[in-house]
Amino acid sequence: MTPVLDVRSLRKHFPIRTGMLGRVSGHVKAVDDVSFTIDRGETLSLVGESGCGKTTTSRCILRAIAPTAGEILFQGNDIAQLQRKDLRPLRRQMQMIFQDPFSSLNPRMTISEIIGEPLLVNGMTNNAERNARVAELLTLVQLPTAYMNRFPHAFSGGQRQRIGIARALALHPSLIVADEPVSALDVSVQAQIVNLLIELQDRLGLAILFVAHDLSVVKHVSHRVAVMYVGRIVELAPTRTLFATPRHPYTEALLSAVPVPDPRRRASRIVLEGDVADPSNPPTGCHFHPRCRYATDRCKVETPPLVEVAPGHAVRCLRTDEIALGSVTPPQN
Amino acid sequence: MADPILSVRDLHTHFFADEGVVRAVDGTSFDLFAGQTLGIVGESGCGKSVTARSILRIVDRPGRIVSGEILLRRADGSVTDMVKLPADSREARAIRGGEIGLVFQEPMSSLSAFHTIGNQLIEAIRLHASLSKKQARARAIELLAMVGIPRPEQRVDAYSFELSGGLRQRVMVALALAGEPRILIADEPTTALDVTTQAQILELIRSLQRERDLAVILITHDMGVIAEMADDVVVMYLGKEVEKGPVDAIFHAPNHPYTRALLRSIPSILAEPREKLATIAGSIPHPFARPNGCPFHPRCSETLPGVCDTQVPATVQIGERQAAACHLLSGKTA
Amino acid sequence: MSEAVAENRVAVATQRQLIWWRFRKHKLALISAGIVLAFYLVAAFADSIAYTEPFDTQAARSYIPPQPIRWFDANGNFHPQVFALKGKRDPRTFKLAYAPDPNEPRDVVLFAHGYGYKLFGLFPTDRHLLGVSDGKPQDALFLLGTDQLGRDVFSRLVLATQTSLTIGLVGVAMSLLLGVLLGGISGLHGGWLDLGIQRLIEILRSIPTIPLWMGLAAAVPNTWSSQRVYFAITIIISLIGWTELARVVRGRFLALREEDFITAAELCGASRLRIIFKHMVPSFLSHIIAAVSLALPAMIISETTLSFLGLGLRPPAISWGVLLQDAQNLQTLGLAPWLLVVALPVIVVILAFNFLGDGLRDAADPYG
Repeated sequence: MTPVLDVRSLRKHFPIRTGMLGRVSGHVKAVDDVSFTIDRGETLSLVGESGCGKTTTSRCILRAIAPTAGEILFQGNDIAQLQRKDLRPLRRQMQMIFQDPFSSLNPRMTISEIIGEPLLVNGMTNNAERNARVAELLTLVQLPTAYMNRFPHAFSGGQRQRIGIARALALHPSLIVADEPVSALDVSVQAQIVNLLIELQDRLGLAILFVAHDLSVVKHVSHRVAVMYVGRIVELAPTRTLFATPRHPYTEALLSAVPVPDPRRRASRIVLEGDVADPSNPPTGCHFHPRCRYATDRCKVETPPLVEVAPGHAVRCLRTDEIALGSVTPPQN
Repeated sequence: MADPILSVRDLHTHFFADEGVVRAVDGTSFDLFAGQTLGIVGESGCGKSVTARSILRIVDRPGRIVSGEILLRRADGSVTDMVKLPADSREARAIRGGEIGLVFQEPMSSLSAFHTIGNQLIEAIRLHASLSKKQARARAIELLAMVGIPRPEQRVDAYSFELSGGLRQRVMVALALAGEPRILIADEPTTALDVTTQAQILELIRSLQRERDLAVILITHDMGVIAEMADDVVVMYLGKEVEKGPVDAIFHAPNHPYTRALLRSIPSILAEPREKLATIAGSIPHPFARPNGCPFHPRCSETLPGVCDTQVPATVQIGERQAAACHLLSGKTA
Repeated sequence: MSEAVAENRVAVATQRQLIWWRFRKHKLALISAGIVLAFYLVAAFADSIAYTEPFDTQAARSYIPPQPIRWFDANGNFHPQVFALKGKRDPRTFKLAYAPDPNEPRDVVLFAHGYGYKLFGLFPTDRHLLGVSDGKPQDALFLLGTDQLGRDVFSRLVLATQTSLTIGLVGVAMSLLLGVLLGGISGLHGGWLDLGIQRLIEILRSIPTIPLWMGLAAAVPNTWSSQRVYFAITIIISLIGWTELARVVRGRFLALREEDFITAAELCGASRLRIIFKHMVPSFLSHIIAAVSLALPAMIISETTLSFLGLGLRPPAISWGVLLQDAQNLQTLGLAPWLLVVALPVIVVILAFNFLGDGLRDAADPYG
């Protein structure tokens, strides 16, 4: 079976322009050789800290920006270099859920207009038919259909996010890109949206690319996780494996830094030195070596390849077989 | 136990807007001790930040403290009620940034882009101590080194936009420490930061607290950060203090349905993959439309009809140090 | 219960209703809106409100001070009257002194006959809002006095209001057209076109306005009729005035391009035209209205300044600037201080427009 999405060696380099004439003096390698696949009914999470390239990757896949190189096979078709008009029929198959529930809905349109827009512009011009579908979608995201004529300002953040999800589902997409869909929500509302996404995926067989920085949320939603650092995937593994037996030192540090909501588990954390590297001027060799406590001289010069260390578990580290890394151990009771 | 360094007693801070009165803080009481961390946790609109701003007397208009006491035990042993001080009096200003330091959520907007971080530090230092410019600069470098900024002698002349988010937040901490405070209020100090940077800043606050016996008020929405940092916890919901107690009791023996529901609903890194979360029904009401009776009753799974929707629950003491405001508890004790 | 109803009303309120609800709270802006409306009513019905032919000169009536209406007659009944004026030459100074003649009372009446004109330039009539019973207001009614040539200041002021307020409208309409067009191209197309338009705006804005006006006004031939000069001046003013609007429009387009709901519309396959006209334009329409209400007073000031300096409209055209020019020498100030009354509507209108614009701008973004 072909995967819904197959990304191969994706690269996105932004030119750095300087001076009056805008001469290109260098490149920010925001995405540098990223490859992964997502199957039907599967959630792959892209995690990493700000500037790691996870958002740029998702924008390239949606073709909101054009990638510099690489292939993006969507349902078998390479869309990486397609023109705007050739993209249109494929676009309705991939939709996005946004981070900010406030700016993602046009405040000047009613809920039925917002959810109905994808239907309208794709040819469903009959009002009654469209309203019936909007009602169906509202029920799907568990909102009362009576709210159809309200404007977004009448809704809370969580409800708006549901509306955004309904709009994304309007055209029966096969791929959903969710860019930090719960990070702007309150904790008590976050759980509702996380559950809704899991349910909808199980029901509709969606492929979801989940872009997030919160590893706790990622653990709840994903089947597989890809960890990015300065434009590269450093580790990709099934969720349980990644959290139980991380094989990259950055993954280890990232997991260790997550505060656990249990005061009896105040462990000593691995606190990384310094900051995330600057993608316009990344360190040589392994980008992580200046902050890595296992780094050797070899790591400073040699760029590690992404190697499959176990079935479905790929790691970009030269010393992964030599070091023993800590993990998030299961609860003690 | 020693006397608290700060005691807040039945604080009410309300905002008088055209649309109505928002009771942003509606009866909060707690004690803060030297060397301890008090966590105030809650979702948006719960009044946690307004509580902090009330303590510092920097509540923005149209808000004001309606009643209550904020008793600050001074270095000389005397007690000052912050509520009685005019907000812009010399004494209130000396306490802000002097005895009480503040770290904000957003370091970029809290630091000036037009002055070097050194100049901002020097200004803060000289506001609270009579030092020469040279001495103040030396002290500024010392402070930067203390908060773990590499090469402080050079960084003292940098501008805030030249620093990364993590370093900026360290500068914020240095600024808060400039007046040699005994109390540090940190309002969502790590919310805008990445997780590894968050770990750095939390570690920094912890080590500074150990070194200087600081009393810390940590305000956050993140139960993980609370579990990691706090000794005592106040849980707030829509301006009301719903439960407070030692951190272990809050996490392992919560008494209020909201605390219990909140703890169940937070995603955990220890969960099974694809595990669904327990949810709290509905969403947080708009501050103008606060429900009658217990503010949590429309979302509570244990609501007592005719009680919770009409009467405001009283705070019930459970054991020596834990208390919660819930009708279910008063029923048990009665 | 009532609370729930109120909540539902807000929930289904359109953007326009929200703006209105917010604007309503801004009392000063609301009053200003009333004032602006009143001024435009005056402008629309200028000839009906004026009572004396504004170009009618008569040496014998020069510099008559304002004359009050006597509301009550000798018996104390409400009976508005004016007395015809008699001029007497002071035998020592030879100055004409005017005194009301109580023997010649004239009734002040509403909708009286007066000079003939065409209402809205279409319907010939001689009805005026105010007049005197004998149909000759030029001998008796001097609400704001007369000028050197014996022309009635009130009537001239009313006609000047018409000119000055409409020149602003025409000017803003032209600026709007240019501004939205060029700003829209700049913001939507980007690239070299954006660069070019932005540089053009910067150049236009860096030219000192008064010398530019002087140069352009000098280029207007002397022989042109006052209507042609009027339009030439309008074009000159709007050529400079569009830059501000263009910047507003471009800024909004650039900001909106980054909005998530625009991306969402793109992703669902909406066409470019649909995105522009369904999503972007409605989002900044209210900003444009606010910008226009702030641009109008600037236009009015420009016209007044130009004409006051003698660069804009010239007599016999009447505008606030032209009238103020009449009041610019010391002699006038000493002999006929009432001619300065022209400054009053200028100040009131400019202030009202500014408050109105501020109110609109604050209300324009009900979601901000």
